[in-house]
Amino acid sequence: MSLETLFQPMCFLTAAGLVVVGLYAVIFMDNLLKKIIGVTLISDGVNLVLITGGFNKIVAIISPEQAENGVTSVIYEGLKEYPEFAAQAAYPLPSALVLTSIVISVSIFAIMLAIAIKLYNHYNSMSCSVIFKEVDE
Amino acid sequence: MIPGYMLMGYIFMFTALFGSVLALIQRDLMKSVILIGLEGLAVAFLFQTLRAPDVGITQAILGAALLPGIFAITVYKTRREEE
Amino acid sequence: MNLDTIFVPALLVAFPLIAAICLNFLHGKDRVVKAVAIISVVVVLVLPWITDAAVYWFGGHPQVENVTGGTNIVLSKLNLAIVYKYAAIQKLFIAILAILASAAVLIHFTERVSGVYVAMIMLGVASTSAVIMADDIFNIFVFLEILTISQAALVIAIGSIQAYKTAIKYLIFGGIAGSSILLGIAILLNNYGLLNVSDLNRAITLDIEAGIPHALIVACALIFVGWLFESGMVPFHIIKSDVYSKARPSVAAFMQTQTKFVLVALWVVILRLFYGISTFNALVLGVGILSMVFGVMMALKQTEITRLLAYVAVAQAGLVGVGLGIGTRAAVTASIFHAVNDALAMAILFLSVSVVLHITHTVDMRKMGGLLWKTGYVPFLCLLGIFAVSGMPPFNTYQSEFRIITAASTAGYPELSVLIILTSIATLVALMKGFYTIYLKEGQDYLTDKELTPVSYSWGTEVFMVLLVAICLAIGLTPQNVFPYIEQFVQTLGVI
Repeated sequence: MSLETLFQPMCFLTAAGLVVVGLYAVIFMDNLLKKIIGVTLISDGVNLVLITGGFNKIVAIISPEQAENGVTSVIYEGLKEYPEFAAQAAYPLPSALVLTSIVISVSIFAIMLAIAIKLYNHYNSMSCSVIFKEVDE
Repeated sequence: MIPGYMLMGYIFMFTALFGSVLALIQRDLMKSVILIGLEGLAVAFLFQTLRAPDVGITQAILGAALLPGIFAITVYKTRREEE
Repeated sequence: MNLDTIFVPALLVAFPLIAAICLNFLHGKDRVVKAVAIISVVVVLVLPWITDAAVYWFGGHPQVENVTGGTNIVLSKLNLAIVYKYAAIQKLFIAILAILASAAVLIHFTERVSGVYVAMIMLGVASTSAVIMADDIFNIFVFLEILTISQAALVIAIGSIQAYKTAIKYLIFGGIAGSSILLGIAILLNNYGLLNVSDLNRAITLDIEAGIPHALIVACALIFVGWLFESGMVPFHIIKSDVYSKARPSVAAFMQTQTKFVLVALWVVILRLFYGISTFNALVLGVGILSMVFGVMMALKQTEITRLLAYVAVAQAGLVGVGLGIGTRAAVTASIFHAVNDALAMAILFLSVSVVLHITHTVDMRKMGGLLWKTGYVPFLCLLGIFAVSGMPPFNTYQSEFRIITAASTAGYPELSVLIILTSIATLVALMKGFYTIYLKEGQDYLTDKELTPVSYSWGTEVFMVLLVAICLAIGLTPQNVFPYIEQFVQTLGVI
């Protein structure tokens, strides 16, 4: 196993690491801001999974033999003339998805932070053990 | 011989993971905001190495500049030290 | 010029989005906001009826046939674009959603005028319609996130510190559940390279002949967690009922409709993708039973009227989940029918509470009482609503609950029938307790000085309640007008 073949699995591992660190922060950290940071880490990790899946031929509208021949599918006949490109190109669908997902998650974080400021102004603290102290029935 | 961009990719992976862990163990919230920006930037470069440059640009703008910016405003409006 | 080139299903999503953007910008100019809002409400009400049943391909990309896709799987058909499907059942769902959205908007106008508030309701209409119609899992994910944002914003609009706390909890859970769905989508995309549900259904059907791949089970689990959050099933029933009880009751009536329709729509997607995994139905049945029992037990011990209704709504969603989890064709048909009926019936109760809160300004049931002859026909309509929710004979929920019970018995779960009947009785007890404390108990101090005159309240709510009771009775007396369409829909799924 060379570093070259390990690249994609390592990217998946990094994404898994980000998700795990984020979940730890959301569950165990006391500070509200750190909980929100945890949610950002989770969404970064998930985006990385999507992009990494599109990196090489894992994604399979290009099946392996077809990629060797330079054909992706009957729709993309034109790619026959560029076999090197067809073998190396990333799958474009995940990029489109991640663009949307990044924008949505940033808007959610903006709302969360605005509420966090409101809660701080009332309780004068960012600690969840203070803010969520009175357990309502 | 490993291509250069892959070597860079490994560095970015390390930066992202390390930055995220460091951001969470800081007591000073402003430092953790800066580190979260570093993590966002590393992920953005990683997207670039993974042949998705358009996503890399968006992530660099939103995840590495705008998001730490609004986090910093929040820290500025609330308290800086974690109690 | 024919109509089906103008009124396409995409307009059902696009129009409320455009209206939301306009209203958001107009915030502050009250008269303009009111005019634009009423026009857009009328259009939203009319649009589902004039749009023809159709399959809509975005960008006009048609299906292509006999392509090679997936891991060396030859698919007979492949959709190149996002697809929206609009048939009788989608028409029914979106029409009911529009009625409750218009109720929420117009009741809001009796108190004050806020452009952003109406914009968020319109955003809710658009996103729920998209989730109901879309045949593309990523599209569903995007609109589920927008739905979370709009619901949180409607809770924030209350402005109390409790509302902020509920909203931030809802957003954090929503972020994690959304990420979970997206991770499931990522795994499906890495394995099959497809996003369209029909295509994935075909690809997975070919793939699981050799045995179920592990990646498929992981994807199913991840999307299932997202479904649990969106439908307010058991681990998330507390946060969901919190959201219902903190929002204004008129908007809570709208929210519980959204939740029930999203429950059904997302479940249909999960079923079409993962029907090969045998434990999936058992899981749905389990969480359905748990949330039904927990919901009704929590409802019995509440002292706040809005929380009581919120937990009853959660319990009814659990009942829908039970029907879906039984998994036979009759049970699934009956529980989709129950989702429609119960959304209508619960809305009556939430609207009646919105009248009560307008007078009492408190949600604590211990401080209420003596409103029976003060509020016109509202107590009578509320009583009819209580009968409707707990499944009394002339109403629509009787028809659907009876069908669920029959289906449970024939599917070999006679114990479930007993449990469902017990839940109905407990629901009736909890709601009658609420009715007694609000209307029949001795009057409280907020009535002392004006004991004899009726309290002033807006009659707009009453009109909507009469309308909803009429729809409930109409469906209950003639279920053959609605039921065959649902049966047909379940048949066309082709996996049960």
